[in-house]
Amino acid sequence: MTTILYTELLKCKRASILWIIAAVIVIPSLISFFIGFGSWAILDSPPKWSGFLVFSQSLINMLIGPPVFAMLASFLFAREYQEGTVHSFFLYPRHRALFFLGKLCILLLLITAIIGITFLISLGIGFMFTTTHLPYDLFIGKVWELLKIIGLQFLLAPIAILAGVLSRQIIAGIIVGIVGVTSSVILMIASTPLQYSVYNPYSFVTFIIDSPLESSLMIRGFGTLMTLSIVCTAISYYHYVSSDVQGSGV
Amino acid sequence: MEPILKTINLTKTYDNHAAVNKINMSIGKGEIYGFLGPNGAGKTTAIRMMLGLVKPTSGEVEIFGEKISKNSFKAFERIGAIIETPGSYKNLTAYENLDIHRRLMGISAKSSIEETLDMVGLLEVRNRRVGKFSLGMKQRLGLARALLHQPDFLILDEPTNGLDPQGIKDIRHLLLDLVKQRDITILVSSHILSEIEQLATKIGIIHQGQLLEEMDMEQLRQKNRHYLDITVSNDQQAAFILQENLSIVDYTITELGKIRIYERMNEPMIINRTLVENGVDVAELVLNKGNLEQYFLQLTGGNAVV
Repeated sequence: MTTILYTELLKCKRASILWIIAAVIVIPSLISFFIGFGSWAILDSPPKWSGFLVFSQSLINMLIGPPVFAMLASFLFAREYQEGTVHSFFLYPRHRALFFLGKLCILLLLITAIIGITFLISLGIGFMFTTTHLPYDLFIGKVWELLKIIGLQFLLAPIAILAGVLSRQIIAGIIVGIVGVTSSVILMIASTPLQYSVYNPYSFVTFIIDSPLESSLMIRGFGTLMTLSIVCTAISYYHYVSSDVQGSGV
Repeated sequence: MEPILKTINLTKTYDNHAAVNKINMSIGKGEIYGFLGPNGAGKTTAIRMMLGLVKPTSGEVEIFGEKISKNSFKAFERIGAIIETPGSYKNLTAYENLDIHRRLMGISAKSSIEETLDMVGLLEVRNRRVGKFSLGMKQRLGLARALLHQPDFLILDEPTNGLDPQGIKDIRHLLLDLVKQRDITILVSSHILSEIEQLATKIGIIHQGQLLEEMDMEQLRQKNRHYLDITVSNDQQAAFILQENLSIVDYTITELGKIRIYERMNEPMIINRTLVENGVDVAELVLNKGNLEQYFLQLTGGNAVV
């Protein structure tokens, strides 16, 4: 399995997706920097830790994360079909299920790395501009939220994986991510009652972090997300492992 | 001896159209099997089924005695394959592409990468990104990947696609050397007759999903030699005259009153005169310039096998 994980990482070397990952890390960090710098230099009042850490987290969880992680998921699972490497890929003396599992692990690793690095950069910028110490409770709370975000974003990914595996095109996953975020924003703008909007998994991942939900809504939202995630993973797995390999790339 | 590859009534149907129809093939150890057929004949679909990439509608494939399916991957340790235009990771160099293959095949020796790149003539560009490779170079890299783990059985689907004449010649020599040195078995598909003719020891002709003919290359060449058919009044006497007067020994009596001659075919007038002068009546003299191309055109109903 370690060989599969290593080779999956090696395949990403010099891939253009790395630039997008870098952008995901840099953009919230830059905004955090300007917020900190603006508060400190223009308003002449150092930013507070709580506001500081919430911003980049929310930005990733609500707007940037879903489409980018969908792209990443789709890239990992559909590139073999799109680039025509699938023929040789499925001729290794290893079960296809191991490749599927390996790609899931790499996806989780990348999501964790992106969110983790962004958080660490935000912390660093925070230390530059705030004059107070980071309260321990706040730090632990944010780390816990961070883990929840990683988990929730990972649970969203199978929707894009399914689109990528079925269509065998990376773009399909990207479209799924963009549509998901757009729907979440529309529901928010339209002030759709929570009891309905929790059914949209892309909205739910926002609510669960930003505002505590009643347990009934929580069950509905989490149930929907989990069901969708499991069903999409199962279909993707079945399709990946047992479907015919047709066509070729150059 | 157990064949390396055996297909039993291998069939693939799409929307009631049989892309491959009840193919029974057998490839023995050390053979170079030329799988010949026009574009769209079903070669690639058949090869995909042989490798478990496509599930047959019916029929079976056995390689090294193991029944092949999507989950029977053990045999792949001993198989190297190229299917159509082999894809590579364009963001990686040739070396890195083969390194991934080396690791996934469980080969410890890193030196095998450079040795194989040298074998296919890509050693000098080993650190160049594959995205900058020409089609021919990608094809060579695909072949390198198929050869890296020193397989016992090579399955090559149109391996010379995109190669220039020198490249085609190089690959042909490489494959012939591999058979000699490593005693490997090769299945090579092509729609180019001359390519198969110079390489294969056994040939299978596929057309519209059906295996029309399977025979040794030598048999095929015999079948397609130039010859002169003579219809005479007395075949025994004619045979004696041909031997004694014209020193012709390469002939056969095909049926009563018919002789097929395989030598001195450019002298039909001399043959005719000699037979008549010695009391044998000649009713007909037909020169048959049979060649493989004509033969395939006949078999495939005139479809392009060039």
